[in-house]
Amino acid sequence: MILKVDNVTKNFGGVTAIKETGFTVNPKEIYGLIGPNGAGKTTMFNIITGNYAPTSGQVIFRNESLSGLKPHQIVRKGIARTFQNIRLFSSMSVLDNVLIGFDFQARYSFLESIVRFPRFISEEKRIKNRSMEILDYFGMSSFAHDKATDLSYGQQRKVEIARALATNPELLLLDEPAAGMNPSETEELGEIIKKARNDFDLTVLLIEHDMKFVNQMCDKVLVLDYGKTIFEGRPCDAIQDKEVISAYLGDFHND
Amino acid sequence: MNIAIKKDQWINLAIIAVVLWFIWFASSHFDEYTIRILNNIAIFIILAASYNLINGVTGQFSLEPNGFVAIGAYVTALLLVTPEAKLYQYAIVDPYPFVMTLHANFVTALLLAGTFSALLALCLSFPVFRVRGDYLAIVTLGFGFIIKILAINNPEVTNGSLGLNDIPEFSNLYWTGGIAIIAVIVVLNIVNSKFGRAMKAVRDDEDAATAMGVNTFKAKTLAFCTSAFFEGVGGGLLAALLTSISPDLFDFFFTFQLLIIIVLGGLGSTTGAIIGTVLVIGGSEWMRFLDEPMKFLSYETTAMPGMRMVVFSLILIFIMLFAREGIMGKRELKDLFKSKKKGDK
Amino acid sequence: MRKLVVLASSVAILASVSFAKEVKVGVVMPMSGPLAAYGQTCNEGVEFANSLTPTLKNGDTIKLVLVDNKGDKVETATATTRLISSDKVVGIIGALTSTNTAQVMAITDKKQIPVISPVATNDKLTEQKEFANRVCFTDSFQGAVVANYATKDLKLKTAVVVIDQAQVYSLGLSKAFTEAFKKAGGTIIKEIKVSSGDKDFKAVVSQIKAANPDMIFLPMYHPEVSMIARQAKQIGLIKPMFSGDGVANQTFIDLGGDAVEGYMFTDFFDYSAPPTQKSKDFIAAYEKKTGKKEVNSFTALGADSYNVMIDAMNRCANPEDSVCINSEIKKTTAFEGVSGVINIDKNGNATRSAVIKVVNGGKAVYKSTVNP
Repeated sequence: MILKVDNVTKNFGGVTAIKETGFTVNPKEIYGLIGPNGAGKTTMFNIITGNYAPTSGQVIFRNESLSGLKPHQIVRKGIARTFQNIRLFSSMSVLDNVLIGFDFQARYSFLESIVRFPRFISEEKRIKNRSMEILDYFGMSSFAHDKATDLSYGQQRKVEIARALATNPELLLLDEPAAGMNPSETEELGEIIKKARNDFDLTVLLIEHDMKFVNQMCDKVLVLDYGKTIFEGRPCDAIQDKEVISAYLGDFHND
Repeated sequence: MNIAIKKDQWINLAIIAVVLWFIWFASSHFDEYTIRILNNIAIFIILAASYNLINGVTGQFSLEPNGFVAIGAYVTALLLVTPEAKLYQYAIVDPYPFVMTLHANFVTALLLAGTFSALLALCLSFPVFRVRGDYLAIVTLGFGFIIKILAINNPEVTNGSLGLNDIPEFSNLYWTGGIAIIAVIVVLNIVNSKFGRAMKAVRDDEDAATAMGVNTFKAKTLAFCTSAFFEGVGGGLLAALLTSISPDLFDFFFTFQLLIIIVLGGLGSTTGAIIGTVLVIGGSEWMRFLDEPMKFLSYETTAMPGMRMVVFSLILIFIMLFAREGIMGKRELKDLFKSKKKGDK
Repeated sequence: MRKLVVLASSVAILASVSFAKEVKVGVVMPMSGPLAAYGQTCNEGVEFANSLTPTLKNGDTIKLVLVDNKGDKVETATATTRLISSDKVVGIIGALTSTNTAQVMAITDKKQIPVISPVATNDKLTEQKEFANRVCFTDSFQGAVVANYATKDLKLKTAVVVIDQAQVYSLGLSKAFTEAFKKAGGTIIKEIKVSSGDKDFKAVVSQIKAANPDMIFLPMYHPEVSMIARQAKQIGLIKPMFSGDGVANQTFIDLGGDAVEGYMFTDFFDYSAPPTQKSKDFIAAYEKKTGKKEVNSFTALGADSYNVMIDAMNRCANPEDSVCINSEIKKTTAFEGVSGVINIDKNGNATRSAVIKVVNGGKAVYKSTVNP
């Protein structure tokens, strides 16, 4: 068990977004969170990353409770995420975007950066090299000095994942990574994620609408509806389940 | 890759050498009027480059300069004015005894001015940066007013609205220019480090920054306190240049002038802050001829005082209409040359 | 023979013309910005006096170099430096406010250039300065004028003083009044502090009404004073009210309306009671040029700053010797100025008369002159 969402409820004022939901993700699994719009999937992500505090229940990561930790602290514990609408840093280059991920691992102080002590130079060099390695892994190293938002959508998505990997996570949260992609891009993305999962020893939790992608990728899925679990198990079983079908009512991309 | 880095360093050293030579040349050859303008430009470069750090690089809209500059100016003045001069100056009420004991040399006074401002900024950071939203602008605007009111209402310390006079004139081009060079280097070094990256990330997308492990509170606080430090030092240099300060000097318009400078130069660009300062401070002096009678061939106009401010405002409007990101945008000087290199690919 | 005389006199005239130089006098004034109205009024006097007396006794022409300081201290410093180092002026007239004038004087004292301030009344201004001078009275004189007039002429015994603590002018004048009033046997019942920019003075006027003094002294500028007068009238507070020259303008009367009828204040000068023949000539020439007879005190003082400067220059062998000009200014005795007879002492302070005016029928009417 690497992640355990333990009986979490989240209320926003009078609205219950998530009701007594829990699930367990095992190491190196690719686990899918699916459900119709408004089911509470992104809210669940935000609870895991610490952006929201659960009204009750807790999130346990590697036997440690994440309660009360701030989002940036949770990142440093080993959980990274990407966003549904690709949020790269628009004023910075591809390389700088990835460097941000490494920054909390760079071992120099404020004063050392002002006076440019040797440790600054060596640490900057180290994380720059590591960043280039990751970009290379995704085949993006030739774009290192381009402005991140000048790239195509598919390329930006890769950069965003590279940036998340720079934080050296054990658990990677991907929020609708295939959104806005055509079938061939989607398939390529799936292969990349699988490969990264193996090469970087990752566990992946992803939110997706594209059922073909879910089928291709996920070892297990959790189906949410109105903040409650209605199914947990293999993707091929999920699409046969009566409750799941009625919840979606033809929302599936079943081709 | 290695050769490219070395070339950058050589260029930087060359630029510094040229600037240092210029400071020496100007000090020994230029007339006093030009030297005074250069001193003003140097001080405002310090202020603009640091104000740009919180406003431009970190993207936090703050209106703090007049407050911290005032603090720096008063701390420095109180430490530099001699006890004899203090004795006759305090006209409203007698000064507190501790005021008479305050004394330090120029460097210590400047460092204390900067440090005191930075500490105050740290105190402000906690309530302001922990809540989201645009509260920073309102808080810093109010902070500036409060400092001015404190200066007026505590005549036992500040001599109230009479202000402090007979400040020894320590500031000269070596001090102002030298510290300007240091301030610019420090700001650039911060920007080109993980701290600067964090600040830019906060500006671009604060949530995404947090999601990448950036401590956004720390980034904003570092930017704010660094800005405050140099604004305090700049205030001290200003006090030792004018040799007389009073509360009316540190009003909202002072902040507004700096805002114009950094927006004109390009929010987020330190080079832009320098260019903006030269254009605004130097330019408004150069345009004084518009206030005087002018000759067009054989037609002479009468003097129209205030005309230069009208023209100045028109130029500002024109530039903001056609270069909305300012003159440099977010780029630095070296970025202008980088685009040529990429074309080789 | 005739031809020789003509030739000789032509040569003499040519020689004097070619030796006649241009001597520059600097003027630092707020010509734009919040203080522009005052600056322009004052500068008008300087320029008009220059047009009436454009040359020195030796034929040199006086050229005025005007630099606008926008009412700002940094600009004042730059303007002063420019006048001294670039324009090479031999003397400076300005600035307007005490704080900006202090900035001018900080620089001119180091450069040994004499400054004549037309209207800055703060006592401390000329202290510890060698090259500082003024043609206006000081706050201590002004305060004493009001105090003595109130106690001796009007037989008033108690007073409440309202002080604007944000203004140097107010602090200086109130201190002077208080000392003089007490010295003349009067009692200050209360001192109330306000700040310029305040608009609501209900608490202030209520306090005054409760204290029930014989008179109220408001040593402040016209925006606040006019509001206090109005709000005082609203609660039925009718007492003799006095101010210094900070309300000596038509705007004050316009803003105060009928609430300031009977209001008294000190001023430097009143055109309806010209104190010297020079005043009469000046007013006549002014009326001829502008069609108006109402010469504002700031204009008169601006003119006198110029005239005193020229007078001192005329008494110097070399009219460009700034040190000489400065010492001659400090020897000015019984000088017939536009605003009255002026004596300047070795500290650069002017001894001269003040006038008391009262608001009558929407206009400032001359009441009396107080001589030092």
